[in-house]
Amino acid sequence: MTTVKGKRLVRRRDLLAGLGSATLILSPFVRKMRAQAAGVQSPGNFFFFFTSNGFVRSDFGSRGQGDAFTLLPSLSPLEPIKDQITVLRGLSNKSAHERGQFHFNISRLLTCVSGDSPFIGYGPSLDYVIAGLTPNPPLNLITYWPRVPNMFTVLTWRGKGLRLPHINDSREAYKLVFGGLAPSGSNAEVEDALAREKSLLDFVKADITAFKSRLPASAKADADNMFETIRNLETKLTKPMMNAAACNAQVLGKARTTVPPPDASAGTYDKAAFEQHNTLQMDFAVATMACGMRNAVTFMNQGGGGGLNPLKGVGKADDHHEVSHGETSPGVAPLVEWKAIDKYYAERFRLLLEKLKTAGILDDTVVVWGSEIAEAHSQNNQTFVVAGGAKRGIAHRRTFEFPFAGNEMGGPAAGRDARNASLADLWVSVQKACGVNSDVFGQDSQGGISGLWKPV
Amino acid sequence: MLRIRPSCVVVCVLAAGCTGGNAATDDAKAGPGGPDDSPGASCEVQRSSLPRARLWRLTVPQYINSLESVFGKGITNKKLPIDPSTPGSFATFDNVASAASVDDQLLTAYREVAGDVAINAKSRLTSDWPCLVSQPASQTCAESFVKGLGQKLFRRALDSEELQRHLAFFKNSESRWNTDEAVALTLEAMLLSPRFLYRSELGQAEDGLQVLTQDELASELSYLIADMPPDNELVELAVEGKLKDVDVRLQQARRLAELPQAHDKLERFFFQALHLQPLSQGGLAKDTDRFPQWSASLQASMVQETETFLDSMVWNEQATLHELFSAEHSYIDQNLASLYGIALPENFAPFSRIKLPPHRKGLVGHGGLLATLSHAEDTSVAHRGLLFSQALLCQPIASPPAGAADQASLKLFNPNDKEATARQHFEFAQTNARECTSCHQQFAWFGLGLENFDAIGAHRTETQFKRAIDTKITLTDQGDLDGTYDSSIELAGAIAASPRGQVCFAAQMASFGFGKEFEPEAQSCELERLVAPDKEQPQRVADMLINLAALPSFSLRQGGEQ
Repeated sequence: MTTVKGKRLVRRRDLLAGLGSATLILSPFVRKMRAQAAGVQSPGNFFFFFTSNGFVRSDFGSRGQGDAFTLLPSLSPLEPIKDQITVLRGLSNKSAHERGQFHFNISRLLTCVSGDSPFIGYGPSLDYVIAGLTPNPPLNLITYWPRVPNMFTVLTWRGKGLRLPHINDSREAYKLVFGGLAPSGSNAEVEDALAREKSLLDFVKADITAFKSRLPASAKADADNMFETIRNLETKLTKPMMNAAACNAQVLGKARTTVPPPDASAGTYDKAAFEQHNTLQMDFAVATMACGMRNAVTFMNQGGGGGLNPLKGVGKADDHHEVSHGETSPGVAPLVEWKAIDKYYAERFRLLLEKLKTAGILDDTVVVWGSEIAEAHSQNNQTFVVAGGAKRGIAHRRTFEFPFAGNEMGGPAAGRDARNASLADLWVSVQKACGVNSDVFGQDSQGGISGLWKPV
Repeated sequence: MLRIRPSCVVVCVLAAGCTGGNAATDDAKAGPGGPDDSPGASCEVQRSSLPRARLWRLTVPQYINSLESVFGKGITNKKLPIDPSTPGSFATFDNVASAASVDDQLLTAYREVAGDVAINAKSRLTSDWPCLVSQPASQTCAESFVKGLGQKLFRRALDSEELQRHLAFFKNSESRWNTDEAVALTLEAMLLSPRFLYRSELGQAEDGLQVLTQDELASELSYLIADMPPDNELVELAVEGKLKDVDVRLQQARRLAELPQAHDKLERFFFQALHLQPLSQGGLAKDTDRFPQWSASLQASMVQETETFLDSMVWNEQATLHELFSAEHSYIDQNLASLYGIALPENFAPFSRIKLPPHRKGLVGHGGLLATLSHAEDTSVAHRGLLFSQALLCQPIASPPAGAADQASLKLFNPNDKEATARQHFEFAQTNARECTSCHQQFAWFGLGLENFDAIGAHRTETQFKRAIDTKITLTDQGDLDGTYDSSIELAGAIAASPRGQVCFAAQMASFGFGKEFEPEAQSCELERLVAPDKEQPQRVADMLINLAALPSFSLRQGGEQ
């Protein structure tokens, strides 16, 4: 136990460990930020739901508008919530790397900026842009973690080569987002502990500034990167976000878990393990938004090109990636298993929307479901599902069907055909809905998707 | 003689006549094997091929070793996120300098470790500085503490500005809280300082190059060989200004190479260069219906076989690269004996040396490597082939064209003969899918030469459909390596004995050692020096590592603009 001038203090490690007691008591900071929230217009939330390996286009999407809006079979699980759904078909990511249109173009999915290396993003990605409206960085969660980080898992980028790592362990995620908020203890104890933390971080920041002043320009980026990271940490500890009206003990309680992630190694990771962990992460992600700790979350069910087939063990082929390459179980027609996987993820997507709705934040949250590739393994002619965000001006029960010109497998050049609609325009509309007042995103945007969003 | 070439356009500015008294070029000239009697004697090092003046974040092993060298083993049980792997042209390494940033997750982990160390190191600190017990600490005591701890953690003495700033922080913290908190906060601040978290490779300007300082050379050498901070002996040599002497550096490198940390580092290099990370991280999945032998225990045995083999061969037997890839023995336990079909003698101690069957030799014959470079259900001709073309031959392979992967499973297999061998499928594809095989033939043959090992590395002579396996391969476009080989096991030995294979290996080692990609052709000057300082004797792998310390890329950096 640390003592300060003879008084007992909450141990710093306990503070950093987050909410430790079963009975949840909101910290003074949460209470404070809830009070601050009154009367303040907060930015919208952005939630990107990522599944890998593309979709079977014939069954994935919608037809018609308004009353005639109809979901195709793979999206049938969304039927109960289709008033909240819009589908865009025929978008092309015009910044795909020239070396080929493969899974590593996940680095271009939310950035829409091309660059020399196919393996790094040239950000900022959309989640960083939208998170920029708040003091906090975006959050990137992943359910099925391939253990070795590689280019297929890096979805969000602060800048060129500056990646936001995904978090697999919900306990780590909790500490990262809520770690500075203590469950109990007097205001004085907590304020003193935070004052200590602030004192330390202030010194480290000043130290980095002094260090930077001596560096050649070529080495300054390293120190800049660290400086900004420390500033984010300090912000998190001392300046919680607003927009916390939906944060309550029940939501926070769901976010806190002591359950370690399931072992992703051979033979131990099945549908039940995936769903348990996936659901925990959904609860956590929803809580971060409901409590105003994050307004931009990227939620990866698995990495780009991921092999996990959540239907494994019920007579399906064993590998999502292989299934998307046409491999089937004996006696099963091509595409049947792939469509089943698409439909399975539609059920998970519905669950997410229901959770956002229950937390009261679906109408303030623009939710987008997408993949790193289209059916032909390219970034051409892709389909995206948009949901939520009604209070932010997002239109629903709409099908945006952009015709695709040229050979879908004809490489990035085919996608860049001027007749094809640009993915970057979807992101323009989404960022505007979330409060980013810009008609431009990445490269090749032309003001957004007409009819998808209108000012409110 | 190695010379620094300033650019592709300006040649020989720093040639022999210009080098008198010039530290930069003295370093460039120096190297194992003497001045002018070695391969590469007339070659020049392009300035643009040197690493840039930079800060290089400590890798996780370096960070842990740096903490433990100051505070002792087990000072924290907190975990850091693993270093991200960065794919290069020939291998994927986790210590690429340009990719090693500090993100939110890593900084949060650093913060937690710093707090944990501050608590756990308290008694050690008061033991080293007993004066800290009295509160408040005297000015002399505080200064001694800040100066001493800073020197240890920053791997160099604090300058007066740094000393004053840290001292002021100590005193302010003491006044606001107490001496214990001031000690803890100062320690935590130092552990979050870029001076601790990054290795400095900025150097001092000299004739258009940055020449690493003595302190930087001491760190460079110690982290290069053993992933640890400089010890007292190196620090003293740095203080005496002796580390610009290449002979002194090589002597120190040999000393450091004896340490277990150096052996661990070389293992990490091999596991990454040979694409074995999934195995070492225990994440290799196999279809256990088809391979009931597959288990976590077998994976652990596979890891231990390769670790024991490397440790014994590289360090105890001082093996050459050829010996690593052609050894007729290995170090196995009962798990692997069952997999390899070897009857162990009575009282056989696990992981003792044992002769292998004739079809299994060297590192490529290790079950762990064969299993890692396979799919869950079957072998992977492509993955195994790419190991040869990329990791062993440094042969760049272009990315497949758009849409190729989507078609691969259809075009590279004969739909009329689903029970065909991999070789038969590939021969079918050569006729029917030339757009695929025009590229795949650059590496597929290497993989086909390993088809006599199944997806978990067991030997076989026929496929699951009872088709006979033919592993013979004939190379016709590989220069000195052209010829016919019974299998890729034999080919691996030949590659490792060839100049091309050795230069490629040296490139991999230099890439890992210096955190930037070395290309065999572009950087042949340094690499050939590394491989063959003595034409008569094949280079030993351990010496290749040690001789990195003599290269210009060790001590010189491209100038960083102010």
